[in-house]
Amino acid sequence: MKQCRTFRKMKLRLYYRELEPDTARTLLRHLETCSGCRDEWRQLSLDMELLTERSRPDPGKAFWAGYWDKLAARMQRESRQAGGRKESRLNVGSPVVPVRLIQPVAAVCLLVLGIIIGRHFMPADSSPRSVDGSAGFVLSPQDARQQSVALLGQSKAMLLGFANFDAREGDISTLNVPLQREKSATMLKRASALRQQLRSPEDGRLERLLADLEFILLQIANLEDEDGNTAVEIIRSSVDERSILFKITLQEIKEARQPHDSGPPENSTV
Amino acid sequence: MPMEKQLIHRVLQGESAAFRDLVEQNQEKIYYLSLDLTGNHHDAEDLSQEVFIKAYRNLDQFRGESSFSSWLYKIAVNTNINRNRKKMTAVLKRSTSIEHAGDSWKSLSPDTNPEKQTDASLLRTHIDTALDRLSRNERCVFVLKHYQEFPLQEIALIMDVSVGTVKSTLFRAVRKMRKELASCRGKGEGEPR
Repeated sequence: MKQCRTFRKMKLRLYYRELEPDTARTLLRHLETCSGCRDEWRQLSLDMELLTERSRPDPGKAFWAGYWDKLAARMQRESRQAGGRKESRLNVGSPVVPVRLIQPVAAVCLLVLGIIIGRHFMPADSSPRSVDGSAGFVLSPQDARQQSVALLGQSKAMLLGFANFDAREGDISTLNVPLQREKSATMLKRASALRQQLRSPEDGRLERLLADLEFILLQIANLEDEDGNTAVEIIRSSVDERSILFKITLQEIKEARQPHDSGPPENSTV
Repeated sequence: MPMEKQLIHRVLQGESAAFRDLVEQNQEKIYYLSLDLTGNHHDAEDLSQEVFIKAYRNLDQFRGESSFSSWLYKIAVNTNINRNRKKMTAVLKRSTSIEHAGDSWKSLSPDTNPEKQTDASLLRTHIDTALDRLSRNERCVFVLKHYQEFPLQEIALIMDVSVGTVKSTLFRAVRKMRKELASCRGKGEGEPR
């Protein structure tokens, strides 16, 4: 009887194998001799089988296929309601600018608008310009190309600094914003001048690349100290979105191969 | 498949596509855990989404000491426990309805006898009810042990409690559920001890 009481007290621990081996063996031996406890054990096993055996209905392929879209939509919705936080990193089709980024984004947009208006509606100076912007100097197509590639190379280090900056935790002072601003302003001038020298049709890609660079340099040149990490995040996004570092690398590879590919054709003898 | 840590790093760098990969790698596990915890598809979908949203917001707090999926499990369990108790009452009321029987439980008997099928259906209803009547902690422990097949030590880690607490909670849950089963059988059954 004492063993029956012990069994009743310990049967769940026995079932889950949570007893010391000696105690478990003693109880199992008791089950061999006590039909009452044996029935109770059998019933416990049966109950556990019933309780734990189950199937989960598959919600279907359509559910799984649409799972991400629904989740992303909810994240965007909650992000908007919460004033926009980390979900702004998600790109789910609809561009969402978090509230804290609105002012810097608006400033950049105005600047870009200014440039577009300036280029399209202000009287253009048709005289060729040198790379520093002064009139009256024309580069050869090859020089314009080489200088453009060199400028792209110079900009890479700066862009990498922004691309690798952790806007959430990074210390903006490590970027040395005043220096970057100054360098950007200089490079911007050169990029703009060089772009006008690239007139050959095969320089179209290089010209577009310079235009992308100009856009980012413009953002950096207008970076204010008080803008903080938010503005850096915008610049970092521009670098990412335009894949400019990748494009510059591609251009460098192309240029490195250029002398071999486009060298003077050799006279072939058949 | 890219390594989990690489994906997490990429998400933290702002690459949204990487988070999508993380979700797609874990969505089934988390949905089914949520289904076990909540007992119905609608709440399971809602809970699983909430888990991923919380994971995304707190990804920088993931230290990589456990696997990413274990971390998600932990979020799921805690989120479920912390949910509004009013919802619990609603689930209780809903689960007692015969209409919801059989949605989440495998047929207990392959018998084609309609009477026996009705018995099985009734039994399933009682099991669902029994699950719903467990406290959130009891249900979590039971689900993690029996449906997710976690060892007790890992359940303790997920729920941030001691192994002893897990054991006592599990045994209490089983006793309650067996009591419900016994009341379903009705005849000649003593209350399980």
